[in-house]
Amino acid sequence: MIMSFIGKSFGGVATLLILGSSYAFAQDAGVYTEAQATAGRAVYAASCAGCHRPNLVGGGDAPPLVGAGIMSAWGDHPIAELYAAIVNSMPPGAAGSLSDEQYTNVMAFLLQANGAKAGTNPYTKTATFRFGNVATGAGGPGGGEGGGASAAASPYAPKGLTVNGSVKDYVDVTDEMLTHPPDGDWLMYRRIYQGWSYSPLKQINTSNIKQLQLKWAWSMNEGGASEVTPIVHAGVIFLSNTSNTVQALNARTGELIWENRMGPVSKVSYGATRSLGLYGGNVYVATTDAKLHALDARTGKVVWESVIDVPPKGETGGVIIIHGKVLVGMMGCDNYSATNCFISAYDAKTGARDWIFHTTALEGEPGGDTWNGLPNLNRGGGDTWIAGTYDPDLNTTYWGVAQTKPWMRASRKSGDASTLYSTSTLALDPDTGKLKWYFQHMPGESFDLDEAFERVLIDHGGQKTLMTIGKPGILWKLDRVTGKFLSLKETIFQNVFSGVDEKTGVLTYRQDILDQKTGQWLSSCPGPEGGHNWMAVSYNQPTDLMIIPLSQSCVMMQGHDVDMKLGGGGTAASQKFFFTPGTHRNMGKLAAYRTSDMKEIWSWQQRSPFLTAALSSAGGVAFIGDFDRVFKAVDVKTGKILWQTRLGNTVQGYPVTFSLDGKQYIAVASGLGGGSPVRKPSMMLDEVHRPVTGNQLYVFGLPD
Amino acid sequence: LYRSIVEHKRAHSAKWRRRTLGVADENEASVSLTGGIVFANLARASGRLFDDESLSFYKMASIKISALASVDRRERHAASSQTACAGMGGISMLRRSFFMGAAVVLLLTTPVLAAGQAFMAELDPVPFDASNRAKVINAEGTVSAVLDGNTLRISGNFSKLTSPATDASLRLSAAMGVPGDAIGKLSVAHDKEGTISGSVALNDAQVAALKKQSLYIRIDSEKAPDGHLQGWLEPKGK
Repeated sequence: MIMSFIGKSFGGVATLLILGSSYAFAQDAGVYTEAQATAGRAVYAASCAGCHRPNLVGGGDAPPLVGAGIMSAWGDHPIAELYAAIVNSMPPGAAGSLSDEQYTNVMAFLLQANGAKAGTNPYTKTATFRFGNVATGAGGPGGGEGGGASAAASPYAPKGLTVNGSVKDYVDVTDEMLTHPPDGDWLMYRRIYQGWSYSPLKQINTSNIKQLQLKWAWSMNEGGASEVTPIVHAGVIFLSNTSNTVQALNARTGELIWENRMGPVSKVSYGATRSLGLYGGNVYVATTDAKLHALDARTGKVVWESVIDVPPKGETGGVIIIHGKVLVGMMGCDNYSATNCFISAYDAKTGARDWIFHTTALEGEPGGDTWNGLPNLNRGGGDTWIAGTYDPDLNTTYWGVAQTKPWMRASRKSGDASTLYSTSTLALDPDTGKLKWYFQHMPGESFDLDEAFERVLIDHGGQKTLMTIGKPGILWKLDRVTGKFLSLKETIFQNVFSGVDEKTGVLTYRQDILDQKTGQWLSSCPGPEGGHNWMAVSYNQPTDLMIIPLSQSCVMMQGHDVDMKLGGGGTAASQKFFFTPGTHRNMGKLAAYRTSDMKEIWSWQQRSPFLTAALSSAGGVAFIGDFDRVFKAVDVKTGKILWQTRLGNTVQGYPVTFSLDGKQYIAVASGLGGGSPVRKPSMMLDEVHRPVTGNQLYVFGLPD
Repeated sequence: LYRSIVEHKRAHSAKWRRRTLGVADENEASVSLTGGIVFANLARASGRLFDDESLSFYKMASIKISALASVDRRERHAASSQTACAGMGGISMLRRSFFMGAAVVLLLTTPVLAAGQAFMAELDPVPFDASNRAKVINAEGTVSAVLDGNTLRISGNFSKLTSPATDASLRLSAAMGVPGDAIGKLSVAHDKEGTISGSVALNDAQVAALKKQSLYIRIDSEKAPDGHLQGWLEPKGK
């Protein structure tokens, strides 16, 4: 017995010695070379850092590639699996497009960034060792804050006012015009303060829509993500391009009048600048590097520039201008920051900051006790992806707030806490930034299911309501005077909530979500694509129909442990994708709901999801564009497709309509980049092939 | 044999269907044999034999015969062996015997199956990321099931697997779309395309789960041993 025990022990020790020596050998010999890591750093900077961030901490849909995040996701896996995953999916939209040498060099860089030793043996794609056997997650020369690939030089690009010109007969935009816009103009994001994306123009209608034809097109900046809203006033289209470039185009001819390239050059494949603002004689643009700029609308020259915060924070959701104040939200609040996430307001004339409202309630403030005792530093998230709406009568602006970061409550250690003001509707006084009321749609959310999108203001008789729909695909109706819940409607299949109380608005999470642990895979239908995402609804006022672009996809999500330090956090989750059961793999759904009684009037599904907002008009036509490049016009009342055409790439952004010289036009963009709404169909729709370029503006009209 | 039937079917499909089964509508039926023992299950139309027009029957085998067959609502009682074989003049005796066997079993099983509640599932790829996407993305299949008392009879087909199927199971989940544990093993063709079938006795809780769309089918394969296809059972016609 004793001998047997000794024998077993000896055997065990011998095994340990053998394993230990091979581990030590691997450590001593190194598993890549310095030269590979150096070359990999450059590849990473050019092809990966845009999403995974220069310091590899990840962001948005891009998981962390350094520290606890990558160790919990890949530490136990053979490195060949990580290599295969990267080759098969990266860079986004161009998987496998790098050479073997470039991929292996990136792997060497990742090993270095996670503390693995360099040596004389090069890393090869056939290597089989476990990532966690050689890497610790501790930042090596390539990892850690500021030690990443940020030093890589940006490609050459001109900056500043690159095309000089002048808009003739420009008419300053007044408060009255913002409140009651001219029929032919599109002065702000969703056209009017109430966020309808509805135009009273009716020259283009159900009887002549089949005659719609292309009038002109304009190639926009490539690189980065494009989800543009063309802003139209005084015969000019103001266009936000990637790399924070603003252009003024003659709306009649498509001629470029002026161009200001503010930079920096976009390397991020998400975070498109969705809209601009007009007020007085200025164009206002909030940029991806967290600055707010006022440009002279006539010339494009910079009037003033104000710093909102510092990158990786930025702003892409556009602005809303109320009473001479420019209100702007914030994105990029994934990683732990000393300044947290906030909405802020600036004087339209000077750029001076007027007020600030933190969207993650801070310690000692109202709502600050809803974070399970986490310090302010660890109160991540609370981004505002779309500019708010405004009720002039109530003098109240309404904003949606995104989820807490990290996505999963087990990662962020928030327990069952609600983490205000995540996934909430905020009602703010635009003059002071004071909170009037809030309504939290999903306390303690866990799957990147934002309720961060458009708040649409609709009156039903004497009742002033606010309607919104987010990623869970639940259409909410609130009293916008008090914030009281009125009703809800589920628009797509969901499995996150085991209970949805239509009388109280209370949602009950599935039990395994409440019991979650890091490293555990959990199902979420829908997943981060939504439901409903940034592709905003249109409220067709004459029919009382809200036309809603919807998506159908599910994920399995695995939360990771995170570094609870400055710059740590992140979204911190891995995802696997699957089709929503029972949908015949149709990812796109377009539906119309009558807002008075929340009844679905019509809907249809298709394989590709929609990548534009909806637009509708008094002509009884609604417009929508999809991932597979098809731009459609449908009958508002029936949903019947009346006209369609195919564009150069994914129809992406916010279509608008305007009129000039008595003629109505439709402007819509194609575009690339984007987060979950693009990443999911890119992975799931095997038959859809998209060009690698294609940010473009198209203007359609009836025959002359 | 399979090819000859298919070719014959393509050449004479409409006429053949009418003559063979006395029907006009199309629905796919696949028939197969194992060891000479005929085994049939209703497929897509299982359990709604008397309230819908479609009919399909399956038999387990290494030899598979696929044919287009359908039974019109008015004529489905006439889909007897006599009727089925009456129009088979151009087909060999062997093939004729297959259909006779299938039809006989069909007659035996029809009264029982007709009384059950019908479910169906479309089979989609299991959750995937970049590491396993290529293995599973194009696989597909459909499953029908009939609940008779507490017995769930399951049949279906699958195709476009990248490696031969190895296992199939009925599984219980917390909700549609949530993975769960196996509660019954199903027979599956060890091929990249083929059929699955089987019967599972459910307890009351599992029956309740079925009606809440919390039971699902999973097919595993050599390259995807933890799942290649999955599909949640939903009431037919939902």
